[in-house]
Amino acid sequence: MLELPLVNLGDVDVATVTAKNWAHRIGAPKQVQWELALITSEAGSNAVIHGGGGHATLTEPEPGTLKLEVVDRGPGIGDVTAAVVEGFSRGSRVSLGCGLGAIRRLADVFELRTLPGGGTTLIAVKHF
Amino acid sequence: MTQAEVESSVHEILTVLTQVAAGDLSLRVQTNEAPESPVGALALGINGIIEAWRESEVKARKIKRALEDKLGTIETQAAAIRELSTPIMDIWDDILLLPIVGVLDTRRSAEVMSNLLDAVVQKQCKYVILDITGVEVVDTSTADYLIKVVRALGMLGSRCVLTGLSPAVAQTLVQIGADLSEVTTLRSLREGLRHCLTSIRNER
Repeated sequence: MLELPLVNLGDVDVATVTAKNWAHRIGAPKQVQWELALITSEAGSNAVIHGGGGHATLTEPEPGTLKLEVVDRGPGIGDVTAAVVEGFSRGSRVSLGCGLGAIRRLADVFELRTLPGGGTTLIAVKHF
Repeated sequence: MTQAEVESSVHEILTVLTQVAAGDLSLRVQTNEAPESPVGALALGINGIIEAWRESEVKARKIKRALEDKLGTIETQAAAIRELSTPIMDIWDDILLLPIVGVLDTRRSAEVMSNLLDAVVQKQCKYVILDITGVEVVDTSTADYLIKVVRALGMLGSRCVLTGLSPAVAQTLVQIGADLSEVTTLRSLREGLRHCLTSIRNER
């Protein structure tokens, strides 16, 4: 299990590279390593830019399954269905607004929960 | 020592301790008692503790300042690394090269591409080589955006040459049904450069 802080965009870069190397160590194929890195990068950027920071946890619940959990302290996402549609949000100056859509496409299991007291939990799972 | 003297010494010690607890570590217990006497020894011991506390406080403050400096440096470096990770190089007359290495997510692609469009306008170059040898996988939205930028480059009067596509990236481009008629795709950066140079020579 790996726990990584997500405070600034530098942390997101570190988490992205760490996730890729971790998947490699576990024995995931190259494509899966890169997809997990992309998911981590998108989710991490969201947590830092919109969620006021948080942390990411990487676990292997069973052999051949990689699970990423990103928890932030943000206001949460009101309409999750709308949020995964391209161009829904462009919170920062430079953004394509399709980060969540990318995560949904790249992950095998994708779950987004807004906690009642604020904060968002994003879970993405990759099988290989 | 009379009872009154002892009481006054204890009072003095308590006053000092209260102020020390409030954060004033410069105070010391003043006493005329000999260090061998119980009150003198107590005062001496307390002064020793305050001094040790002050020293460790000074040390902690120094460490904190050093840590803050380091954190600042790391932050600056992280920003610098991000900027350096996608340099736009003026490799030849009329040819710009943008090598992309690593994980290209939606945020980074937006950053990189807006920098590229600015550079193309500024340099007025005829060719742009987008080398993505270092990118193994992209999401469909990023691939789609990549093609849009290529189209935008065409509007600005630059031809775009895409080199170093990985099998997965090529698959993604096909998957989204990208119209590649406006883009020249070549296997390697070397071939891309040769293509640009030949085209420029033929135009002259």
